[in-house]
Amino acid sequence: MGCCWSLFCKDDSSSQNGEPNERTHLLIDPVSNNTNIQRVSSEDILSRNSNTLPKKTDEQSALSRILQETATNVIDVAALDSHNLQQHEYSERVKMYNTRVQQVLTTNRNVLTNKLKSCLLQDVPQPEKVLGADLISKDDISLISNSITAALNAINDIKVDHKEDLVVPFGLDC
Amino acid sequence: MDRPALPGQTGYLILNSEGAVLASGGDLDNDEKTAQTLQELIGLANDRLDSEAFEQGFRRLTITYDDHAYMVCLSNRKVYIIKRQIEVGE
Repeated sequence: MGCCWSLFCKDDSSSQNGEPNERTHLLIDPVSNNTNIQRVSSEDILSRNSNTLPKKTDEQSALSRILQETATNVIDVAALDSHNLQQHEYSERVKMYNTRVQQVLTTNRNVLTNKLKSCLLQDVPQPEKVLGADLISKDDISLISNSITAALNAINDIKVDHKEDLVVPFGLDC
Repeated sequence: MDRPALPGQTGYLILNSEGAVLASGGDLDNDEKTAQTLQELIGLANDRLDSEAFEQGFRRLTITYDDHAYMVCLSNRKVYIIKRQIEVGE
């Protein structure tokens, strides 16, 4: 009940004060409602009744602050549209974007050349010649795979035959 | 594609230096998986092999299976990949 009363009272005061138009009033209303809920208490209502003038200025500053914050947060599409029509600004942006694209391209080119440098294969003039050349013969393949198998078996057969103790005491008589 | 088919060729891929497929055909038509695998294989081979230990650079990388083979070579900053059928008598 108190909340309702304070709300109405505030509405009256704002309308009495001659706020510009109904639109701003509508925007601000829900926000001011919140602040009112925080403040509501019986003592507060009493004090508000007794000294209306200082409270009014406080509320005015708070309201204007809220209005300002809302205005900064709102994106006015129509205003943006007219702003973008500036010709010299447009060409400036074209220049800026072009330079950015060039920068990205040059850095990418460096990456590409590095990638090619790290490639195992060397650049050959005629790929058809290299690709059309004879394949490695079956005998060579079997020779390679046999030797690799033999080497692998030899590696797997390696055993450590330990004859002495792994831990040796230095300078101590056991 | 105006590339003449090599004897025994069943598919081809041409990649740019970033690994993107520029052209493809046959068995390897739009085979991006094979393209990526072989591209990675080139990098892996480069990491494992010390190129300075060999007197000359490598011109071709061949992955041989029992009945077919993939052959990779680099030309004009493009990677050419050919899939070839292996003749029984070869």
